[in-house]
Formats: sequence, C-alpha cells, structure tokens
Amino acid sequence: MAATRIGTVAELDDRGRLAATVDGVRLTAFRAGDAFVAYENLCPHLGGPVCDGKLARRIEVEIAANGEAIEHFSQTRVDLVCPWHGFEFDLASGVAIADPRYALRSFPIECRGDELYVSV
Amino acid sequence: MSGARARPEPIVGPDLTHEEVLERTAEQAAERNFEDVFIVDVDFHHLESQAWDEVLQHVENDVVAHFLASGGRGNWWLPGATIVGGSQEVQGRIQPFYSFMDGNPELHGARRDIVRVRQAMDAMSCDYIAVFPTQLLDMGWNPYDYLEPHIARAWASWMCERVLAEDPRIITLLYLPLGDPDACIALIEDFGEHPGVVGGMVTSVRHNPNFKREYMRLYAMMEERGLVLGFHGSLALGERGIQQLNRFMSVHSISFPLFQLIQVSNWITNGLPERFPKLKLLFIEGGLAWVPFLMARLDHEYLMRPSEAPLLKRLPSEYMRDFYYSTQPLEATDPEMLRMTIEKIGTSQLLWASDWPHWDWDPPSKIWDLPFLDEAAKRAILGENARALLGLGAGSGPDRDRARKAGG
Repeated sequence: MAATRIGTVAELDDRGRLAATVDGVRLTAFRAGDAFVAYENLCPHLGGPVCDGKLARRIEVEIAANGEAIEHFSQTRVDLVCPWHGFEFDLASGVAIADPRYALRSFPIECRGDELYVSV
Repeated sequence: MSGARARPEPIVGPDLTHEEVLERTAEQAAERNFEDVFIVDVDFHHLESQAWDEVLQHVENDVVAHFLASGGRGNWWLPGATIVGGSQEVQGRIQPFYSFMDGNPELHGARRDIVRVRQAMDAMSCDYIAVFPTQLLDMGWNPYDYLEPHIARAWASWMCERVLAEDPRIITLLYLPLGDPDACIALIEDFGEHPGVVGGMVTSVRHNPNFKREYMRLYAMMEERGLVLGFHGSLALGERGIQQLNRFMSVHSISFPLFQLIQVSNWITNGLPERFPKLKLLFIEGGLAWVPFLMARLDHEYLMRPSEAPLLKRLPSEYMRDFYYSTQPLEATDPEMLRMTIEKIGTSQLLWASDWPHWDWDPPSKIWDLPFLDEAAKRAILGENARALLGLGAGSGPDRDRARKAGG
C-alpha cells in the first residue's frame, strides 16, 4: 500500500479541503484540529457526496441551574455534513454523531514537510 | 457600549449547484443500468413562488388577480401562507432545495421549472415525473379561503399551458380546492382530460372531512374518468396539536402521516371504498410506517364496532391494501421493520417518489438496493405500478427515447 501524494497543506488550507482520486477512490482530505484526516467521498447512508458538504460546528447543550437547556456551538468539535440528507459525521473520527453504525471510510494520511500523502 | 457580538461562521463550505448535487444520482443510475428500467417519480415539487407572476396571469377574476399581484408587487405573495423557509434545510446543511431554488437564474417561470425538472429527471433516469406545487400545499387551511379556487384554477391553467404542453414526460395531479366542491368539479371538467393530467390532488392537511356529501359528485366524476385521487401531506404548522412541537424534526415526523391517518380513517369508516370501488387512491409523502399502524388500529376497532361502519364488507386493512402509497420518505433505518411494512401493504401498491428537491428526498437507488426485494418487485415500485395506475404509455428503450426527444 504505497502512499500517494495528493497535494500540499497550503492547497488544503486555501480550499478548506483537498479532493483527490487515488487508485480509483475519490477521497477528500481535511484538517481536523492539529491533525489531517482523509475520507472516501461516499456517504454510507445513500451514497451521497459527503465530502462536498458543509463543515459545521457541533451544537452542544448545557443544562443550567434552573433546568434550562442552553445550546451553543462547540469551540472544538466540527462535523462534516452530507449535502444530500444531512448525516453529520465527526470530522476527527468519521463516525456519524447520531448512530455510530454509520461511519466514513477513512484512509491513512501523513504530512511530509508541506506535502500530504494518502494510502488507499 | 455596543451589544453586537462578532461570531465565527458556524457552518462553512461550498454551496453546491443543482447539477453538482445531482451528479452522484446520475452515477448511481448508470451503475444500476436504470436506462433499462421504467421509472416514474410520483412526487416532485416545483417552486410556484418563482413563477408566481406567470401563474397570476391565469387568474380569471380581475379583482383577485389584482389583489394577489399588488400584494407582492410582482413577487411571490400569498396572504395567510404558513410555509416558511429555512428550517427544512437544517440551516443550510442539506443542499438540494437551495440548489434547486438558486438554479438557472438566467431563466424564469415555467421555462426555469422545466429546465430544473429535466435536470433532476435525467439524473435519476426517470421516464415520467409528477410535478406538484410547494407553497400551495398549505392552502387548504389558509384563512383567505375564498382565494383557493381561484389559485387552484390558475395553477392548473398555467401548468397545462406552460409546463405539461412543453414536455410529455412531465405529468401532474391537479390541485383540488376542496374548500369549494363546485370548483373542484369545474376544474376536473375543464382540465381533467388535458394531456399530462392523471388525477386530482387533495392537500391532506385541511379541515374538510372527505366524507361530506358535497364531494360525492366529484369522486363519482373522477372514478368515471379513471382519474387518480391523491392525498398529499404537509407540515400542518397551524394545527393546535402540532403547535406543541418545537422542532422541525418532530413536526415533520408527525404532521405528514397524521393527516394521512385522518384521510384514510374517514374514507374507510364512511364506506367510501364501497361507494366508489373503482376510484384509485394514492397517498403521497407520508412514508409507509404509518400504514401498518392504521391497518392494525382500524381492524381492532372495527371488529368491536361494525355498526358504526355499516357500509364495510371487509376489514379496513383489506381496503387499505387496495390503496396506493408513494414510498418517500422511506423509513429504512430498520430493514426488518421496513420489510414487514412492505409485506403488509404489498409491492403492487407502492410507487417510488423522490420528493425532489426537498430535504428528505429518496433517489431511485434506495428502492433498487433493498436487499429483500426481487427485481420484479423493484421494477414494479420504481415504475411499473405507476405505469398501470396512471395509464402511462411510453416505456423504457425506444419509447422513452421518443418521449425524451419530444421533451427536447
């Protein structure tokens, strides 16, 4: 399983994501915090182009002392949202936040200098 | 001191075009060789709000036409309308609707609708597609009830002249203004035999019980003409019970099937299947999970209270197995539950629908990939049942090619 160069970190940061086809697999690389992740651009729900979707800060809830549920956007957790039907996947792990039985196919990705390599 | 707050954008990423959202659908169709499968989409929505000025040109009454046109000053305006945008797409996370709404801005009105409909139906490899309105689905309980027959008639006239006449692959069920039974009859008389009109559609969410005697002539007329009577769900945001729900998810989960439950219950308990045995009923956009529930519930009650439904000669569930149901949104999370649901209804009664471009749309692959159906059942649900029910002539292969060429 040889690693394939898909582009540079600068390209990824400019576009917010970096799409490539490696050995016939359409995949997309993202920055997830300090790390990089790469997923197949295929939603496990109905086959939608999940990696072309929005990146959304996760909505978290705090229960206040008076019992009120207060929602806010997470400062750390980001989800990748399939544009077809809204399945939301934790960007760092690729696992659906609503049901862990749904998970994106992920690939090893490494950064060599400024260049990104993916193994399929 | 300012109270304004600077916030990072919580949702970022590309806004896909209509063509981009549909691209994978076309790939799926090619992978499954849908070119050789007869496919009919029985529920597709155009945006009448984007053709409103054209529709208003078909309003016959001068005062009503002026009222509607002046209110919006040339743009979409319908007093009393309850459908509001925004939440359906989960604040932009789900993209078909916005991509459809923003698509082909260089075009206008019917021309724009036709182009976008063709984009979707070509991507999904559809032979025919039934186009319905969107905002008008809630017209059934609009407080400006006197407008309903005028708008229904104008939409029918616009649809026949500007859309159906342009592409033989596009069909529709006419919006029936049930608040005015005489207007329904006139609508069927004047537009019921127009090419592409295959039936009439009741917006299910309304407070006009379908068993009222003033509708009997309408049903008889539709039965005689072989027109399908469809019942299309909606959000029911004005319903008191629904107003207890504070999220789109809960509103949508309950309101669409709720009014189908009401329509079916009224139809059966009042013996209308016996009075109009040849009238074909199609229940649209309620999913399927509600059907076995109501079968069990009505059978249970009927056995103990048959004197309340003296016209019935069979169990309610048996009548329900004569009705037709569009499959979308197909509740497929639990395959075993879905298999049982389909078995209870029967594959001969199911018609695939996309509901494009709405948030919970289903591609045809969702039916084709069901592991517990054989190919004959998949073909039946995707198109053959609709072919028989709606009297559609063109099939796959050469017929479809001719229809496509005729459509341009």
